[in-house]
Amino acid sequence: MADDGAQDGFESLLMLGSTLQHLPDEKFLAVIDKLAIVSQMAPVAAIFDEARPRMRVLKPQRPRSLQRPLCRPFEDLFAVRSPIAASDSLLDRSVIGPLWRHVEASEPAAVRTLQAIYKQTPATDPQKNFEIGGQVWRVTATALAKAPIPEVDPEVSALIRDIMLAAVAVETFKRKFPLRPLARFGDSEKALVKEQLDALSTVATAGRGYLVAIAARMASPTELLCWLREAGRTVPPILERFALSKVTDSINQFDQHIVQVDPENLAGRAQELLAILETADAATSGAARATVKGQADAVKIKVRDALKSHVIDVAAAGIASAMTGEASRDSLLAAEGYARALAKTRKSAGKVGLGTATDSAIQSVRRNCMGRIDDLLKPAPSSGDPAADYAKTRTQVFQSVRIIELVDGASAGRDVLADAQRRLKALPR
Amino acid sequence: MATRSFDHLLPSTFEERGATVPFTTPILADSRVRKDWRDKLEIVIGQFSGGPGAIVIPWTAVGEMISLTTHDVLLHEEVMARRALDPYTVRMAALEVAKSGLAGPDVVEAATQCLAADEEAKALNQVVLILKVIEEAEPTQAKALMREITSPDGQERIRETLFAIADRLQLDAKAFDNRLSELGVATYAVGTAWSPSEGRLRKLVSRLGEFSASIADWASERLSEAADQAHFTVELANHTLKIATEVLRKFDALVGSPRSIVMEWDVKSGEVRGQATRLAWLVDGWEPLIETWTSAVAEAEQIAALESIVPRLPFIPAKEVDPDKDEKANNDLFGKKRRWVRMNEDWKTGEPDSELVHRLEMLKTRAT
Repeated sequence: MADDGAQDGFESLLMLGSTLQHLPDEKFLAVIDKLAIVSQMAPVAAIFDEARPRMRVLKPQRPRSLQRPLCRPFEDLFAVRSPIAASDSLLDRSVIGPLWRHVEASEPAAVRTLQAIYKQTPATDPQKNFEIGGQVWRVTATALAKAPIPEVDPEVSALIRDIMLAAVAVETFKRKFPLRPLARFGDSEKALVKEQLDALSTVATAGRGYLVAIAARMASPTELLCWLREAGRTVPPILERFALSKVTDSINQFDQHIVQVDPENLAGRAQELLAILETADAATSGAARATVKGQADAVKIKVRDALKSHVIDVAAAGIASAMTGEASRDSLLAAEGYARALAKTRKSAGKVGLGTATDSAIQSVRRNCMGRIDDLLKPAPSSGDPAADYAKTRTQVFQSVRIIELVDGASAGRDVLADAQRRLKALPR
Repeated sequence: MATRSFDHLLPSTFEERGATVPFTTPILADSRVRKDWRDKLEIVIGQFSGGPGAIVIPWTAVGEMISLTTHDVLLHEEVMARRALDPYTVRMAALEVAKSGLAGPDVVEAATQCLAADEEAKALNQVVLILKVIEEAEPTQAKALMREITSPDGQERIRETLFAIADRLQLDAKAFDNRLSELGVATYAVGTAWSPSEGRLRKLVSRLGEFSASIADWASERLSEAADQAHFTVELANHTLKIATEVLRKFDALVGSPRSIVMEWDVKSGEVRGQATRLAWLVDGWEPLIETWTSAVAEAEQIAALESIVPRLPFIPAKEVDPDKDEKANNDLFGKKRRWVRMNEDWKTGEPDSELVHRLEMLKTRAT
């Protein structure tokens, strides 16, 4: 009976998560304020996960606690509780409580001093806050070197210790490249990672912590893996596991995208996923590579089917039906969505054996648009208002030119525009 | 180590800086048009360069050197046909081309609304000026008329009242109306301080203030390169605001008495036009940056927005600042920009990136 009650309470709390999203800002903040006291409880933590994006916008006033700078270097590793996230990929927020209690018990004097300084430091002094963070990370690393966090998986405890050892480097990287997820791992990013890894090479296992923390900021952590292998550097097993679990997350997300997003977004996601799989293939070796390859083959079939049925087979007809007569704004937007989807699909079509089918769909759209332009520019009976007739024809011709540009690129669009403008000049107005 | 000076790269006048042209080809986003020493049009492209300098090419060569979107083919032609060299004429050219549909139906809708709003603002501004003249003679009547200023019938009554009291004001009502009409056209974009509806440029100055405050607030608790970029953007925005506020003050002082402008037409109408034009140049180029910032909600979007804003910031030309008070600050700001401008690595790929083009088109839908 007691269990049933607890279960009911748990479910009510979970339901509160979705209800919270529909509350006006003021009420939302009031509820968050009340829940903050018990934020470490499992169901409440799940509610906070759901509420976090809105909290980032509304910025609720929360008590200043040293736990905030403490978590900053590893906050990107926190799991978003989602059914599609691979289970072993990230840290869980539930570790914060035990970690903080451990640091307080291990280094009470240092914590008290830091707490006093932190309380007097305004949030609007980021440099001072960064310096306090540096001291918190050092104290935490000392506590974790003495003993792991009680009642926490020793591997998790060791990972946090390693990140604490590299925390200043991690935060310096974030200052230089604050974008998250880090979409591009280019020359500037690689140069800084190399410099920081070299500097950390003398600090026990700090390099491992640094790499995992940086990987957690990246849109495609396999890029980091790939670069490490190319540079002949050691790849910590935990980094490989983490990077591959992110690949699995991306695959799982794509399944959701197939049913949830419009053709244009679907084509974009397919392109991203195929790029991730390519990097993963290049970044792995041995058994891991075999696993990635197995996943990639299955995913490519899925991507192929999705692109074929949601974009290639329907785009030309979708555009043609939207572009008849005086198309409404909504029809034109729908046609543009299909055209963009087809153009994006072209970029990844070759990788899933759809190159010919995509080219043929694009040619079909081109033919339809060119046919429409020809029809519009044929001599037609005047309505008695040549200026209005001309304006209407020009508008519709340009609608078709735009679709050709979207589907086949600016160069193709310009050629058709030049020809259309020449022919438009010949019309009475 | 001495800081290298880039003062020589700062344009001297607004005309030399050029007027921003809202292209949708990413490499040309916020490029500027100006005339060269032979009086021919040329384009100033900031994003080619990795430093504070810019690339300048003849206007006629743009199509040969850069792969333009179809929208920009028309915009390029239209700017040349109108010989658009100031913010007002460029805006009119851009709105005309936006209506073509080559940047999509939402841009058509936005441009149509902008043009309609312009017409309304012109009509309202003229009536507001007439009402001010009436107020000097008939304060009570003016108060009653003010209540119906936004309705077409009310606007007609205001005009009739001017004609009715013209004799008492010792005015040639017809000539007075004509000059007020001309004054109305010259000032509607700024609008009067007491108008029930804020003019477009006046509103833009207010929005620049909000933009600056919002970025300052965002940066206050952050420590990163993006925060440095934010502080820098705020500095330049505030510097621009300071000058714009002073221009508005002078404009308001002049327009506060439309009757005296009409009476001393040869001197004062030029002064009013000068202040209105100066304000248009001052805020030229800020609107797309404000839209870029306000449309960024998530942290990652805001960081990306700042990275794209910094290379496009409109610096104040050297001769447009007070040499005693602001010249050094202005030159220092210009030199600082160099730290963050990165090469646009995609421009050599030929075709405009469709995602970036789409983003620029979305900005056009929010332009005023």
